[in-house]
Order: sequence, then structure tokens, then C-alpha cells
Amino acid sequence: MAARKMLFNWEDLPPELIQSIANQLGDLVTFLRFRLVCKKWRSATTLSNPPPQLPWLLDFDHHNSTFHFYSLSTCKVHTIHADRKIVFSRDWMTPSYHYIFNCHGGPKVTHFLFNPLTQKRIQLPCLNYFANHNPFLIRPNPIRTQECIALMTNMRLDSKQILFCRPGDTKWSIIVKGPYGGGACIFYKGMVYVNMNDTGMTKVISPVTNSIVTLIPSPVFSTKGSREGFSYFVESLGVLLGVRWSKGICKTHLYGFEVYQLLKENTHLKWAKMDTLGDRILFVGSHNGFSFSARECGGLEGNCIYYKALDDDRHECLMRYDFEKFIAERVPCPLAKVATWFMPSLEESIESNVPV
Amino acid sequence: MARSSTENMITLMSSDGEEFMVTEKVARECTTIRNMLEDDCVITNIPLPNVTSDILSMVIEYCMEHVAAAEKAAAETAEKGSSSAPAAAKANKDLEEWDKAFMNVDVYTLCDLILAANYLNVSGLLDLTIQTAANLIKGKSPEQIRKTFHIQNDLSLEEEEKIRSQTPWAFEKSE
Repeated sequence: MAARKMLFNWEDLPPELIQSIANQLGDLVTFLRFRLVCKKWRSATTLSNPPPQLPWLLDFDHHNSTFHFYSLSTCKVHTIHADRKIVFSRDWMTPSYHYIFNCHGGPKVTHFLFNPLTQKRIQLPCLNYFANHNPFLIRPNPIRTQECIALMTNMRLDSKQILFCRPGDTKWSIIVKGPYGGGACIFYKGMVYVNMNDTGMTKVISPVTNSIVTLIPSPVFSTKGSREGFSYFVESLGVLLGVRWSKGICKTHLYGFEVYQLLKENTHLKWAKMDTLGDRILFVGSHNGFSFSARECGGLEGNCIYYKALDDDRHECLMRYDFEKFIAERVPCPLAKVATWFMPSLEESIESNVPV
Repeated sequence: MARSSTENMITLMSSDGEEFMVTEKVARECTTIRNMLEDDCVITNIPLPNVTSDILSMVIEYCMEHVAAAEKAAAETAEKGSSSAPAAAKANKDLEEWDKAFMNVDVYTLCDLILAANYLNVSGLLDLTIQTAANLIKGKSPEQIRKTFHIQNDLSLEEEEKIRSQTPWAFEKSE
């Protein structure tokens, strides 16, 4: 029957359905290719609203001045040539959400955030002392909240401190002075959470008043950890997670992971051990982490933690800890080295949400 | 089904005039129809001018399968007091397999099914068809996507070049 012939074509789908399809693409590159198909598909989607996606692995090749990105969703490597005028140091490359943190060496050290996909650079305040080898770590921060763009720790023996800056700041504010020890640290819901390595206690510090608002006691750990408290804080679905390396719980390796979530009991905050991560996939590395919904991002199984480790030959490799089976296994990764996780984004500005 | 004789039957009429008799339970899988029934409970004949008979029969097939699966799960739970996890997991897997086989359609049918699932508001079918479309896009170049979905490239050569040059790495043949 002629009447049965379809009336619509793919390019004529209503914009909200085109957007629904785009939301399931799971990777920025797939999304960019999708947007090049036709005008209607392009106009139904915006760069500032990419599909939910998993972080990429990033490595920097000094000799060729190139960034290599590996997507776990598509199992593809993408290469971006860096501006040769910018000197990157791999050791200093730690992610701050859509940006990576880096510095210029030389007589005057300058620090900046850099989005290799857009080449956008955000200058951070200068530090008035010379930073020696690799003393800084930047924490992943929800930079779109505009409250905090960088949080870093100086772990030189003579000055253990946590520094903080907001967009437009001309200098760093010191938040924690004195013994700190390099445990987990995050900017979360307007406060800085610092896990103290000596006691396992978590200090909640207001960056506005620079005072301790709350002290969260350390949970009683049943296993021995690699350190007293947490190694990573990860923001996940509106709650804060404390991630800890634990000895003796992994069936295949010396260390496995334990995860605690921060709960409010009456007026007190306390850490409660999680038996399952549910749909979550955590990605941890360099003292920071990301959390994603496996269902939303597609492609990978949930209830696990991806992390960087050294194999028997002391080569960097990518590992996955299965939270249900208590086993760790190697994940194939074509990058020669695994520098860091990186959340790909083409959003140009952190000051405003203007799409490219 | 033995119980169907006691259940309310609804007639759905496709755009090309074909009539489909379904149980109210199956019809209620379509939120659009459920809302109509809730507004007016004596309604028994529903014209669906946006859905052709071949597509409507597929939507009904999907709804019937999912209603049957839900009924089976409920019956098992009632029988044993609680559903056993392995049995529930197997039932879920079976339904997933059925969905997968159901999605073995050409891109024109898939497009019509997306529109019908959206119009009739069958959330499970909409998610399934959208996901199927997304899977067809993954791993393809823009040219391959156009070919798969029979889409005309309406971007000018200059426009396309300009877009590609903004993020050349996204369009290079990757390793």
C-alpha cells in the first residue's frame, strides 16, 4: 500500500529526538562526527551540551609535542599537536576537569590551566618562590561552580600547605598550613575537605573564613591501608566518596580498594562503608578522581574502579578493580604511558557557558 | 490468554485505517493512550493518525512482549513469595535478547519506530530505538553515517571544511 510509505526521514526527526540520540553517543569524537552529518542534526545539538561520557586517558609526547588521548568507550587514540611555544611538563600534568594543570619553567615559574582541545589557557597566580621538582598537585574541581579553579598542595618538607584560588584571583590563598602529608583533598560544595594523613581525620575548611568548620572522625578501618586515611576524594552523584587502598581484600593483588561515603547523621558527618558502588565507575589517579554512571555513559560495566599502576616490569599500565568480585585486572591501553585522566570538553570558557 | 476474555479490549486504528484489538493492559503501555483512558474511561476505539499499520503492529508486538514478561515475573514472585535473583536475571536477559532481535530492522523502519514510540510515549521502546540508532552511528565517519541513514549532506564544501578544521583530530582516521 502506498500509504504505508514512511513520511519522515532521519534528518526530519524533531530536534528533541535528535538530541536524545546524541545523548547516547558516549564520546566527544562520535558527537563531533554526528554534528557534521547535516544542518538539522547540527542545529539540534550544541557543543556545550555534549553526551555524557567517560574520561579519556591522556599522555604527552615531549619529542613530538603531541597529546595522545585514548577513549575507553571507542577504544581509539586521538592525537593533537600542541603549540610548540608552550612548554609542557608531563610530570606536572594533572587534570582539573576540562583542563590540565601545567607550568612554565625558567626563572619565574608560572602555572596555568590548559584545555588541549581548544588550546584555551587560564593563567593562575604566580608563586613568589621557586617550585622545585614536582611539588604541586592540582585537585579536580567543579570549575563551573566558579567558586574554585585550582587547589594545590605544596608538599616540600619545609612548607606543607594547601593553596587555593578562584577565577580572577591575583594570588594564592593559603588554606592549610602545617602538617598535612598529602592525603585526599577536594573542593566540594563550597568547602575544602582535607584528609589528614597522621590521624585519618577529615578537616572541612571554609575558604572564605579560612577556618575549620567541622572535623569528621576517621572511620574504623578493618584492613590495613597504604596510608592512615583516604587517598582520594571523589564527588559522585551529589555525595562525597573517600577512596582508600586496602591490603588483603583483593584476591589477585596486594591492594584493593575500599570506598566510604560521607553521610549526615543528625547534625554529624560520618563516613559509611559502601558494599557496592552500584552503577558507578570511578576513575582515580594522581590524588584525584572522577565518578560516572555506567548506564548513562554506556559501554563499560559499573561497580568498579579504574586506576593507574605499575606492572611487574615497572611499566605504567591501566588496571580495573572489580568491586563485586574483589579482583584487579589489566585493561588494554595502547598509550605508551598513562599520564592522567582528562574530561574532554570543547567548552571554551569557564567564566561563562558560551559554546564554541 | 485465558484472562483476556474478561479484560477490556481496546481498538487502535492506524493512519491507513487498519484496526488492532488489544487488551487494555497492552494499550496502557503507551502513556499517550493511558492518559486518554484515564481522561475518558469508556473510550474503546482510538484512532492513531500518526502511525501506519505496519509500525503500529510492531509497537503492539513490543508492548505485548513486555507486558507478558512483567506478568510472568509477577506470577513467579507471587508463587515463591519472592523472585529468585538468578531467575529474574535470566528473564531480564531473555527480554534483552528479544529486544535485540526486535531491533533487526532497516533504518527507515527504525526511524518510524522512534517517531511512533515518541508519539505514543512508550518509554522502553523509545530508549531501545534511540540506543539502536546511536549504536549505528558509533565508530563511523560523517560520510558513513550519511550513507547508513540515507541523509543528504546539505553543508556546503566551505562550511564542512571550516567545521573540520576546528577539530581536525576528531575527523582523522584514528588508530
